This record gives sequence, structure tokens and C-alpha cells, in this order.
Amino acid sequence: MSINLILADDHPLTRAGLMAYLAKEQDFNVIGEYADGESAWNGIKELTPQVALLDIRMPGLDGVSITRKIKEEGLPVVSLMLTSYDAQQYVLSSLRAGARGYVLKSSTADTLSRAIRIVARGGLYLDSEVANTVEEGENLSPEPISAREREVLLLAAKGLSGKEIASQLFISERTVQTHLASIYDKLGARNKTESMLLALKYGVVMLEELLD
Amino acid sequence: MKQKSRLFYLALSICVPPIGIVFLVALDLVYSNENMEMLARSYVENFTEIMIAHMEKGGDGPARERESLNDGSVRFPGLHTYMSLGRLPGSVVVLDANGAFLYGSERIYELIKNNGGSLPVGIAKSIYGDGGERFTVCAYPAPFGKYTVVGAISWLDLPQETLRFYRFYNIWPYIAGFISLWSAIAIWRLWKLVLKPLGKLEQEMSLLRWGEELPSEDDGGAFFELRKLRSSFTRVAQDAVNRVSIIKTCMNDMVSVAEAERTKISRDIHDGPLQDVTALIQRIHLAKLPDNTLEDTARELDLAEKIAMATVREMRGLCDFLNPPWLELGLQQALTELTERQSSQYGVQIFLDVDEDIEFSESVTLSFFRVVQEAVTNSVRHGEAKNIWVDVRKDEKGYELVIQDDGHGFDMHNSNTAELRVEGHRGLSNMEERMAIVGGRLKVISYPGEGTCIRGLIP
Repeated sequence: MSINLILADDHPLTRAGLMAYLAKEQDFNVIGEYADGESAWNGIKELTPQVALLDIRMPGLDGVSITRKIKEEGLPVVSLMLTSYDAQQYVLSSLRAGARGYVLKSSTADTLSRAIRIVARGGLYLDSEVANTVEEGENLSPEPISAREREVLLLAAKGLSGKEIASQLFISERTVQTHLASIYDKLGARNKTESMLLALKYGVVMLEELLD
Repeated sequence: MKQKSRLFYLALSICVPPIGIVFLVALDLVYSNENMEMLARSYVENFTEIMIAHMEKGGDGPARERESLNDGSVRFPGLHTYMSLGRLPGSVVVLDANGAFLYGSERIYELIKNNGGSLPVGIAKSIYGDGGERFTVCAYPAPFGKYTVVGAISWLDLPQETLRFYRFYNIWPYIAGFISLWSAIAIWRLWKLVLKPLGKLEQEMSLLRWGEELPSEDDGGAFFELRKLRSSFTRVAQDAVNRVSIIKTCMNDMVSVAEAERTKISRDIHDGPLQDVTALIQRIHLAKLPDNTLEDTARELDLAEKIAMATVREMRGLCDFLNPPWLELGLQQALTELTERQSSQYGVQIFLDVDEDIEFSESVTLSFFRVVQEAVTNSVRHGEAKNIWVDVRKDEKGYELVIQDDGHGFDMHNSNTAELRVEGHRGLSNMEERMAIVGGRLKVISYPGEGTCIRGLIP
């Protein structure tokens, strides 16, 4: 079964490279190629591809906005974000907007193909370079986090401050900090965003839980 | 603090003379009063004794008493005869043993009655009449009968020349009061108009946070010079406040310009070299694919090489933009390089004319360079100019840089650089600042539809 794709990237050289990647796979069918957000959005509406490969930063509409529009309109299109560098905030905001994964543009053709196949099946793909971890870490299950820690993590991922989390869970701000420190430790993360991404990656939390 | 106490003593010493005058007047008043009293007493005592003597001489003794009651004639003829002569000023009253009126001035009798009726015998006493008129009275028992003879003198009738002074005596306290009131008002005004505002101003100045606060408004309570002094201080303080706000604006500008620059550089790197290198990595990945033919690999490597070369060009352009290395070559070469690049970049004609013998320091060269760079960019971007003329000349006035274009200009009266800067258009003020840094100035002349002329002059 072939997968219908569109590709939106404003930089001609990287777009050509990605097209060359996609051409290697027999079952990938690139039905649209766009250099800016507006035309990409029009293409998505018109062609309804299975997977939309969207550059996070583009002139006009950016990838995150397009993803949000897809979700709002309820189109059966899965968006996979392409980024040039590992800005975790971008990644997290695109996941909140409804993206099912992200891939670095500098990753190999194999990685891109795998990511596309995973998200097309309804899975979640997070590039290992963005959520900082070793390759074999993908199969490694982290030390289980407690139900309370999970709650704290989810609220933090929704963008709440330590103070807000504390008042919502009726615990002290200090306890929130302790929980977060424990979460970082268990997941091997360095900050809130990374711990969120790793939690998604390890399946500790589901993407749906992030979306309000 | 020392100065302030001197001021206090100065004010105190001003107070001394009026207080002294008032004190002396009061003292004099008391003494004069005592003297008058003594004079009046001795007079009235003598007067009464003289009256008694005349009564004796005229036979006003008790022998006459019986008959005088019947015939209606004068009761005390001796006394009456003498009083009729009017030789001595003064009044006399004769009372019987019970203090009832027998003869004399009924007015004085009333006066005595109003003052308690009884008088100490043989001692003169001062009493006051209805209108505040002052009398000295003296009661003596008549040696020949059971009468009391009372002599009285109004102070206004005292005969001696010196005592006439008393006629003005009543106004003396008023004069003294007036002088002291006058002095009090003068001192009060001195304190209110000079000392208090001066002290307030001094305190305000010493506590004022320069550059942040202004002295309080003039409340009009001080004398003119002091108010002028306050307004001068206010001007100086206003100046300091303005200066601080200018510095703050400048710092703000510097920070936001620096931030904007960083954002721009970051974006340029992201959109340029970063994408190029990413594309390069993609090509290398493609070249390494296991099922490649030799031609496939060669083609990918060829592409990779081209991309790498494009990357180098891109980065070189970025370096040139950030800090052109050819600035070291001198003004003429730098401007030639710049205008040639801009000409091809924007697709416009730039005519450059730089006088041969102009040699500048690096900072002036940089200033001229940046002004030209900015001006040409503006001409193309905002004025849509097709031809631009750049001249650098040296004449008796100094060095002049002229950039003229054939774009559609703008209305200078609708905009000033300060407003534009606030709105984030820093082009014009950037150029102005560039010129100002090297001691020059910038003039922009433009009319809608007639192009723009920018003149920079360094004297």
C-alpha cells in the first residue's frame, strides 16, 4: 500500500535532498511539493495526502500553524514536522498543535522513511537527536514514574508554572520541584521540555493527553 | 548647619532694635507716669491745704453754719470767694461728717461716689472719670468743723508746662504698639519671604535625586530673587532629567538594535548556511546509500560539491555584510566594491565619483561606507530608484558625501527621524548617528516624486 505525501520546505536545496530521499522508496507517492506555507495549505486541502511533511519555519504560514489548521478542519492528514535544529520548544508546540512527530532534515533517508511509515500507521515518531538519548534507548524502558509525578509532568507540559501546578494539585511548590527533579532523573532529561518529549517517546504519557 | 545658625542670629539681631525701642518706650511711660502721679499728688495736696486755709480766713467755720441754711446765701463764702477768682485750676468738694455733699463741684462728688465713696484721709489718690479722664483727689479734714474738704485736679488741667505733655500722653502707647507691630510684621515677613523659603529650597536641593526629580513648584511665597533662584534650579534639574531620559532612550535603542541585529544574523544563518549544510548532509547520505551505482554516487558527490561551494559563497556574503574586509583598502576602493555589489544585487545603476586625494581614518571611512550602504538600500527599497549617484568631494568647507537618486522621494514634513525611530525605522537616524560619531552632520532633502538627496558633511 503506497503512502501519499506532500512536502513543504522553503529552502530549494534541502527540498531537493528530501525529494531525492523520498524517491528512493517505491511505496512513497509525492503528490505535492511546495516552497511556502500558503500553497502547502492549499495543496493539503485539495489533495488530502496521508502524510504532510512540513518545515517548521516557512515564510507565510509556518508548519505549526498548518498543523493546527489541519486539526481544526478535521482533515485526515497526519503532519510530520521537519526541522533544521533541535529547538525543543518548537517541537513541543508543534506536538501540541497536533503533529504526530518530527524529523531533523539532516537525518538519513532511512530515518525519514521509518518516521513516515510510523506516523502513517498512526504512531508517534520523535527524532532521537531532538529528544536527547542514545539509539538503544528506544527500547529501554525507564524507571517507572509514579502517578503523582505523571500528573505533575502533564501539567508542566501544558505550560503551567511550578506555582500553578502546586495550587492545582494542592501541594507545595517545593514538592512540585522535587517531583520534577525525580522525573528528570528517571527519564534522563535535563529540563521540562525534554522530559516531556522523552515521556512521549517512552510511552509514559500519550500524545492525546497533551492536547486539551 | 553653621550657615543656617548664622542666618538665625542675623534675624535675631534685626529683632533687637525694635524690641529695645519698645522696651525703652514702655520704661519711659512708666517713669513719666510715676512723675506725673507725684506732681499731681503734691499739687492736689497743696491745693486742698490752700482751700482749707482760705476757708479759715473767710470764716467758713461752724459758726456760720446755722444762718447760712436759712437765708439761701453761700454756705462757705471764704471758699466761694476764692474759687470764684479762678486763680488755681482744680475743683473742691466739701462733705459733712457723714460724707454727704455740702458744697462744691457735683461732678467730682459723683466721681468720688462712683469710686467707692470713701477716701483715705490725707493721702492723694488717682481715680478715673467717665471718659477715661484722670483725676487726682485728696481729702483733708477741716480743722474747724466736722467737714471733709476734698480737692481734685483733672490731669488735663495740670498747670505746669511740662505736664501739658500729658495731652499727648495717651497716644504714646499707641505709637509704641504701632512700632512694635510694624517690626513684628517686618520680621514675620522676613521669615516668611526669605528665611523659610531659603531653608526649604536648601533642604530640597540637598535631598533632590538629580536626573529623576524636579524641585517642587514655586508656591509664590518667596521674594522675587529667591523665586528666580528656584526656577533656575528647576531648569538645571529639568536639564538633568532630560539628560537621563536621553541616556535611557539611547541605551534602550542600543539594546534593541543589538537584539534586532542578533535576530537578523540568526535568521540569516538559519535560512542560509544552516540549510545549505543540511542539504550537503542529505547529499552525503544519498551518496552513501548501499544500493547506489557508481554513477549515482558520483552524481550525488557532484551535487554535494556544488552545494558546498554555494555554502561558502553564502557565508562569505554574510561575513561581507557583517564586517566588510575591503574597508581596509581605503574609502575609494571600499565604496567601489560596495556600489558594484549593490548594483548587481539590486539591479540598479550606481555612479560613483570619489575625489582622488581623499584619505580618511578608518572610522570616517566606515561612517561614509555605512551611510552609502544604508542610503542605497533605502533608495532601492523605499524609493524604487533606478539610478543612484554617489559623490565624495573635498572643498573649502570640508568633506562632502552626496547620494542622489531618481526614486519617488517622500514627504519630509510628514515625518521626522525621531518619530520614525520610535516606529522602528532606524535608517535615517542610523545615518545621522554615523555622521555625528565622526563629528559630521547629515541633511536629507526629498520631495514626493522628485527623488531623494542625502548630504553628509564633515568640516
